[in-house]
Amino acid sequence: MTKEKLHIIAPILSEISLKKNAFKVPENYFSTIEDDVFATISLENMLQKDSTSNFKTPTDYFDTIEEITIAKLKAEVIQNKEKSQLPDGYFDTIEDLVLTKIKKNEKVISIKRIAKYFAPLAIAASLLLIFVLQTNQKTVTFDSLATTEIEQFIESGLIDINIENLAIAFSDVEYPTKNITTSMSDEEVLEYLTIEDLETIIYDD
Amino acid sequence: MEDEKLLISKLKNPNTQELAFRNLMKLYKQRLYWHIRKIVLSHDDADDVLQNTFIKVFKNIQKFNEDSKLYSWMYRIATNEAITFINKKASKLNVDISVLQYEMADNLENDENYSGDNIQLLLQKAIVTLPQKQQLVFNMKYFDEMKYDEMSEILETSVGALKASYFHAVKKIENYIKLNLPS
Repeated sequence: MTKEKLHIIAPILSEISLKKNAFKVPENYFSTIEDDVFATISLENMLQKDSTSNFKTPTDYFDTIEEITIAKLKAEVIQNKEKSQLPDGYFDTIEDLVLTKIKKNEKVISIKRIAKYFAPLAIAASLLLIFVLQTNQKTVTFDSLATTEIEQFIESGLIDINIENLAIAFSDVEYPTKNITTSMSDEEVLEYLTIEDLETIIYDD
Repeated sequence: MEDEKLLISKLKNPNTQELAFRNLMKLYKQRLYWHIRKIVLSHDDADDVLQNTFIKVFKNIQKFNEDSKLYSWMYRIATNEAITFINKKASKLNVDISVLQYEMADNLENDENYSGDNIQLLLQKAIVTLPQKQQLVFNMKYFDEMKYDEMSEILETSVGALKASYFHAVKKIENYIKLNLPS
């Protein structure tokens, strides 16, 4: 379409075509285009080279990496599982713990399962430990221990009880339930368990 | 033609490629820029698309089979890059391309790189009401004053179809401006 024809068909468009270009360009823009383009190309080439150049991997590395990683993870899980089944220092105290199996006749409060096993076992293990330390020649059994002596050891703070070790070591101990006469609500149990004095827990009537 | 053959052989030769490419950019950067700018409207976007166009030309020069002129090939790449750019923008904003283009035209008023008057702004809004290919035909003929033969090679459309398309575009735009001119 010639300009003359455009003027006839579309006079407004013809008039606009005579105006100057409405779009502006920043000064010196066109003088930097070539450098900008080559800078981008160089950067892309550099990035591409770096990804494959100086670092090598063993043959078939990427084919086997998933299997190796999964096998390692499995091994770690098994290892952690085995470790977590044994409390810290378990093998150091096992001999003492074996000697301290208790027959318990004292009345205790019926509390949650953990407290039920921990209290008497804690006493028994601690007492044995104390006697072993004090008299190397004497053979000690719990039957020979007087109740008052047990109390003294607890009060003097000579007992350092690892409750978790005891629970695991004596997991098969049958706890006598015939003397349990009192049932407690959960709130009462929680309140009970916050009492720090072990003697109070054991001998509370 | 001879000059173009020589230029193409230098562009394909790694030893002479960089210098030849710099010459190519010098030759065509402004024409390609203005073609792109009419599509994307913003200078910053036009700058991005222009650089992408040249990078694509550089990376694909070995594949250029010389069936068409070098400039037509580059122009086609520039057109595709510009259209892809605005389509991606519309997709990111989750709007139709026509909606985005209207917004872009409307925002020209606040663009520091645009100095057109109201009637020129109306023209831009009128252009975006056309189908996309017809927008290209109008821009290439009205603004770039490109010959139909060259346009036919770039858009891979017959000269007759292009003439008809341009004629209808002119009529539609003229009517749009008349209807929307402030009284």
